[in-house]
Amino acid sequence: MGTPRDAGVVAEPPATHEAELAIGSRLDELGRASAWLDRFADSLDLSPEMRFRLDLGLTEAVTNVVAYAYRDSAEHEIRIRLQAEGGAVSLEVEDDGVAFDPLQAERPPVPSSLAEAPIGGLGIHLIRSMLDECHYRREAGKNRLTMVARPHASDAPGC
Amino acid sequence: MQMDVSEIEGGIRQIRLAGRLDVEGTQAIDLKFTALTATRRAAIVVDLSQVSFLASIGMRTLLSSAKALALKGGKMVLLSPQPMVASALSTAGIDTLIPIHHDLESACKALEGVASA
Repeated sequence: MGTPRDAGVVAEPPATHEAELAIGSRLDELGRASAWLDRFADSLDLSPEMRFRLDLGLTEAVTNVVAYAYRDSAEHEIRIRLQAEGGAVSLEVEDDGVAFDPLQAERPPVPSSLAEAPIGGLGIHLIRSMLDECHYRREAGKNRLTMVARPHASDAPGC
Repeated sequence: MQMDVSEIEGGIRQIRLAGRLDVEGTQAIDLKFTALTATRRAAIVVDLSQVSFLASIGMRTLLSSAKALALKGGKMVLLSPQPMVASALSTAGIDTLIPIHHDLESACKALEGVASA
């Protein structure tokens, strides 16, 4: 098979980092969440490009949850988890709102003029286009949206 | 989030944004930005070179102002977005609706004849 490994050279296990944050279901919590993501990115020395894409995923996912997930006006908890493994970072947003799979939403048509352009509806499209993988699952009364960003993504990431 | 405005040659208004156009940043400038771009037949350059992050809420503000301007015969162009901001703009298809220029000269040229005297 391959060349024998030098004695004494031990393969490093891939570094794994995890973090979790709970925020209230309000848009004004996003600043705190982005700052937390930034510290996580600092600890891994992530590229500006990875940071941007993860921050966008976080911002758009939380914005959608706050806008559409709740039928009451009580404050709910949104849990955000980050996990880094082998250079990829996975970001999970969990809420206890009504069941909704954002990945089933139709892709908006590309408007051909300013007059036709709808204002809004871009958030989910941005998540699907700027992150490398997206998964949704409904589990134990909760929505979980997982988004993965990989370094040196091709010119056209998307999921 | 910072915003400053100057009137440049040919009646063109230049709005320089600096910071993050996330939820908080967009809310901080939205009213003033909308007021500045709602002028009749205005020709507007929005300098994005110092904007490090752009979310859909910020795109909404740019898009709704550009739409309102176009209805009045005005026009908006975007100037020098950073690479990831440019990538998000093109993903959203905004680059085809609000032209992006990478130098002030070509931005101004694109606005020739738009500004009211």
